[in-house]
Amino acid sequence: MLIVVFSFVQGGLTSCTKDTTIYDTVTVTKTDTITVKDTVTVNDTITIKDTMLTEDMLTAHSWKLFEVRGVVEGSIIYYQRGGPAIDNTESFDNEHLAFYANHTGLLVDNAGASHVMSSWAFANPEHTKLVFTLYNNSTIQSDYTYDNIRYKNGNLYYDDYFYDNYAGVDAHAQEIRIPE
Amino acid sequence: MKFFLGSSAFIFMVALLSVQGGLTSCTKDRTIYDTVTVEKRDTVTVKDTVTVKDTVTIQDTLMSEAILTGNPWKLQELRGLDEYLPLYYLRGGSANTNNFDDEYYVFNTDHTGYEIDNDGNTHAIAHWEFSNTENTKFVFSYSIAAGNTTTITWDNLRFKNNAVYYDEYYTDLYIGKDFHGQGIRIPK
Repeated sequence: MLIVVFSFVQGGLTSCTKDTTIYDTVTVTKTDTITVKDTVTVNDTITIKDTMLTEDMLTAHSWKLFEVRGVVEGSIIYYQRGGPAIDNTESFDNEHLAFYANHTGLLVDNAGASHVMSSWAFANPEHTKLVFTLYNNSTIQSDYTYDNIRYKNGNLYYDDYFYDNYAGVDAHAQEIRIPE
Repeated sequence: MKFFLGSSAFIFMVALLSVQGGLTSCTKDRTIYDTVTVEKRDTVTVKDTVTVKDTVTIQDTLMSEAILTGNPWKLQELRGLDEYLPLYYLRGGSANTNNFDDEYYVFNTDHTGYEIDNDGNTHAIAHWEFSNTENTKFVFSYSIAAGNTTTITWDNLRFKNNAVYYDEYYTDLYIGKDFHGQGIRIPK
């Protein structure tokens, strides 16, 4: 009987165990670093181009000389509009040159004589080279080349070279022409 | 038998009392760890600026001393009038009046320099300088021969596509002739 009772009580002892739950919160911080690449592409395009001389610019008006410096058959030639007479080897005050849209033109020299331009054309796609044929008198013509043409501030800068079939002289010069 | 029952009841009571005491003392604490994970987002923004230099086309670069003294300069093309004789040279060309294949100029940073002519002779440049603020005009003192010096002017200087374009004029006091031409020089 006692054994039964103790057996019973022993069973009661094993089942009487009681848990008290204590929550001990442990905070674990996990840092999740996200790197955001913020790529900014800056295009730094600088395009500076010389202004190309067009037919419209060339034929828009007549052109008068502002400055000439060169050599004509061994002699120095120099002219600057408004410059001291002592420095100018000759006058071009009244000279002017017109290129027409139909690819002809006219030069009026300083003495007022007209010289017909029978043709003109750009000689390269960049329009930095211009060739034209001009009557020196009523029958004799010569070919002229304007090379290294630059159009700046409304003016024409170029190198001029030719052989004058009438006078029989070679010339090479640097010139600046401005609108008349 | 009565005694047995009586003693049994007594023992039972003692046992019960004893067990009750045991029951009250068997309470047990147990700690349960409740792990809480906190995720923190830590965003780092990196500014990664990329500057792309796009095509830079500068057709007329201001001529500078650094460009001029950066290397010797040989002729690519020259056209002009030497007194009354037309002169023309194109490197590799077939209609040249003169040969400048081996000629070149050197401009030193101390504003001196020299030219090696096509025959290999040296012509000293005692002094060179830009004569305007735009650096489009350049003059130098050139030794033609011993005791004979002249001033050469390169006008309308332009630096394009790594080449120097200019108009050149001078009076050769040694021979007594005037020259005007247009030249293009490239690095030697």
